[in-house]
Amino acid sequence: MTKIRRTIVAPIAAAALFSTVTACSSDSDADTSSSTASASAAAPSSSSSGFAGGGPGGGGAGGGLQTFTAVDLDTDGANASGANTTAVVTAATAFLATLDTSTAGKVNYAFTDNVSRQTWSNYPAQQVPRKGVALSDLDDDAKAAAMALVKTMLSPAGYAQVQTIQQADDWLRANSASGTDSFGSDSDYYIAIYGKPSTTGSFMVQFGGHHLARNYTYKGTTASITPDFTGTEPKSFTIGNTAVEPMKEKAGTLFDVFDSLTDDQEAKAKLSGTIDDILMGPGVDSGKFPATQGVAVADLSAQQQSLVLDAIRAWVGDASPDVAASLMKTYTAQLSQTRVAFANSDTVDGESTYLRIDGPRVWIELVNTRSRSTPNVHYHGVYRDKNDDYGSTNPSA
Amino acid sequence: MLTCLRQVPGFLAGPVVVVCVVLGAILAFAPGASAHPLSTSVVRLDVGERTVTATVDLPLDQLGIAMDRPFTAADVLDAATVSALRAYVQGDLSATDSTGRTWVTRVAGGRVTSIDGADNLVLDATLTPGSGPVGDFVLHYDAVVDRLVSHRVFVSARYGSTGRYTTVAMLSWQTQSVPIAALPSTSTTSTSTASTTAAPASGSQGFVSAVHLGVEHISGGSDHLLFLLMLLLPAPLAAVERRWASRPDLGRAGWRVLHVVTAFAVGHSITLALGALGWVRLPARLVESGIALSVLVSAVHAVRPLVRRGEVLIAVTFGLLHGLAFAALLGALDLGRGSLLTTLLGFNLGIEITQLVVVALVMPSLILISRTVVHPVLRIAVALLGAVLAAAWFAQRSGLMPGDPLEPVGELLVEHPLILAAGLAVVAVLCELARRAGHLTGKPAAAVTRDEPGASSATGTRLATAPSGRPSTCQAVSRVDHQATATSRGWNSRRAARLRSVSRPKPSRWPVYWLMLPGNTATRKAARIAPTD
Repeated sequence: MTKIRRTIVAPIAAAALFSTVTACSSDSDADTSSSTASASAAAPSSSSSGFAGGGPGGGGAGGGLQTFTAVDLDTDGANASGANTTAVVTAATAFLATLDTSTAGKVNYAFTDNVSRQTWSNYPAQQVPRKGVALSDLDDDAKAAAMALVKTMLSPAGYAQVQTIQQADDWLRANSASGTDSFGSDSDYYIAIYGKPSTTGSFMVQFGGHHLARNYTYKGTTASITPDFTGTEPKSFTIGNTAVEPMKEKAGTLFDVFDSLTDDQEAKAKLSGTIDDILMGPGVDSGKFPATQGVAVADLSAQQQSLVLDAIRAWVGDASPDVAASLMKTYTAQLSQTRVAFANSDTVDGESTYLRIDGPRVWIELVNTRSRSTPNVHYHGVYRDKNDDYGSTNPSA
Repeated sequence: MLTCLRQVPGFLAGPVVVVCVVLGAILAFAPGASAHPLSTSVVRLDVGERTVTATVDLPLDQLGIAMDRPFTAADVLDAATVSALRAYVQGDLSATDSTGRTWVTRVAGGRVTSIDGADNLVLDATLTPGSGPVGDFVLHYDAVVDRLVSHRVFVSARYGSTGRYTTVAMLSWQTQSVPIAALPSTSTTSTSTASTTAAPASGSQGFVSAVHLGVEHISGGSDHLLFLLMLLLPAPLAAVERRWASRPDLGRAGWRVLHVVTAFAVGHSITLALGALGWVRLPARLVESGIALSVLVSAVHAVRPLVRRGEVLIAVTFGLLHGLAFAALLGALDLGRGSLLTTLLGFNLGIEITQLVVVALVMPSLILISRTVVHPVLRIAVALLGAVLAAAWFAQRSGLMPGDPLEPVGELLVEHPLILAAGLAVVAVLCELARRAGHLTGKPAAAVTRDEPGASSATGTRLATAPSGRPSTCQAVSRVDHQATATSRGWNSRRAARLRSVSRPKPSRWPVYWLMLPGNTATRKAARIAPTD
């Protein structure tokens, strides 16, 4: 009954004191559980704490902000072979050498700091603060060295993917209807290094920001390249006279798979529930993946099977060529046990169009989602490896 | 009200209108209407001794996706819709005790609240063990998640119904259940993980949390505040002949505010105590409807005084009703007898503190404004707004209407309290500046600026808006009625009195109204009366 009243609205001046008083009673917001590293302690949207509030009036809608709970990670994941670790170590060392002591301290974390390693997101940095240092806080030399390191880790296509996602954020900075002050290819992207870069021990380079997360873990000559988040808002835009479509390759090859499905195959591929964002997004590191569903790739034609491989390659191919080749070999071998599935719709601009590739190891999701910044749907995509995220065996295994 | 508007000189009417328009624009374009892909549900548990109550927030956008039909704040409360949604949530919410027995779940309620700019359907649920006290249990909840797989649900809990909620879990497609510990005293497995995560907010925090509860309750209960505000509106005035007249005496205005606040405190304290002790109990619907009525009555009183010193009388009598509502809240808290007294005192203190904050925020601006002719405009506008809102509440609470159509309007107001307070202060400052410059005082400019006789005779008695030094636009040459006095409603001159006697006859002379209908000449006759003695 009292709640009836709470919902009821106040007139002009009664409302005036409302804020003053609710400020006093803000203790009704929920605590962040101690085992949880709140990623949004500094989040500007006041009432939504990291672990979205439980207080009356707190929490609810803004609670999409992510939280990161440390899971047990080891270094025994099924890494890809052929890593260019020597080059990466050289680039990482060169980058660290450009930093003064205090900045270097901010960039370099312990390899065992699992919560920090898990701190990546689709959100802008203002909503979910990242680890490490923003590119905008680096001088020109350091920034160039940081991007050189990222370039070394990736294939040319992978590095171009990073650049176009950053360009999308620049576009948002100039054109966003609402959202955040942190948009921009410099201010919204962070770099962090976990452990001491070495050709023998384990270390991880984390580069990401809004709609981007590269978590590359190296161990000797092997590497893990997941979790890997790519997305873009808007889907396409122009810079000068050049049209840019950051996710063109990844989305295009994936839609080719679903466009090729016969009615019968499509019926098998369709998931019953509705899904409006990726399920294995940031903070979902428990190692538990959704039950395998969808149409078996083994039941598709040879032509269709090659389309599935093309789609997987579009994501894996962001890594340096030998690493990508090693992973593609694994995923190709497991193709017959892989399934593809979709929810809601499989049209390019459909509301909450959701596409998935689900293999014994490979996991790819792409979804049309919405924000307040632009009027149209935009992409969120994630690529994970069930036996190798963060270079670790599956935490639940 | 129109007559009052006419008394506002153009140069200030401009800023006032601009402020109103700007406020309106800010309210109208406030962010939040757009859908947010990651809005989450929230389940808040109040773990009691005999039962667990739960408040469930369901974001309408996500609920709409799950149910495959869009909901608006208005249509989600349609009787059939909301009852279907209650049934849906009831099927997806359950508690199981350590022996595997499932408790009785009941879902009731249904209202729409805006949370972080997104509308949420809020339902109330109770989870009750088949027999015996509440022990440790496992909460299972998969509403929305069962159909919208990417949805997330935050579960939080607290004990003793006061203090903080502690977030216990985030449910998602990965997990839809979470263990919850019973009240510490009845916990069967005090070492369970749930009790360590969810037990800190126990009811023993007592007094301070009760104060918080009082503050929180009255500040969230806009009807209490609106009631108080309506009573404060005419505080700087005196009731003269069933009208409000301005009264320059600051000290007496202060006394009246004190009287009103004290009267309300006395009224609600009596029934709060009686109700909390269980000696007086009225049906909730009756109390809630009565409270809406009290706002309506106080709003009417702010427009035209109903009784001399009526605000004190209204405050104390309707205060009794408000006290019953407060008591009902405390009753729902399931308090032990031992803590009742401290809780009662703390809760009441919280309410009083909040009242004083209202007074402190509103009264200085009101007093400044009351020295000018803007006050009647503001007073009547706010009172009418209050009356309309109160009428809508009354209709909803008494069951005349299924929902409150004005709720979205009011919600917008609630979400921008600082702007509104600042707006009131800005108006107050503008009024004060104008008053110091000699405008808006309700007295002819001539009288204020001590112009030479020739100029003053040119200003006319009706309204002298022309600033001194500029030629008056009013060319009617007439003598100033030097005995005229300003009231909050206009001139109290002999001419005005005569006009009133014609245009506002006593009720015993109803037939005179006939003369005022179009085509009849009463008003024109009145207008022809010379504006002089």
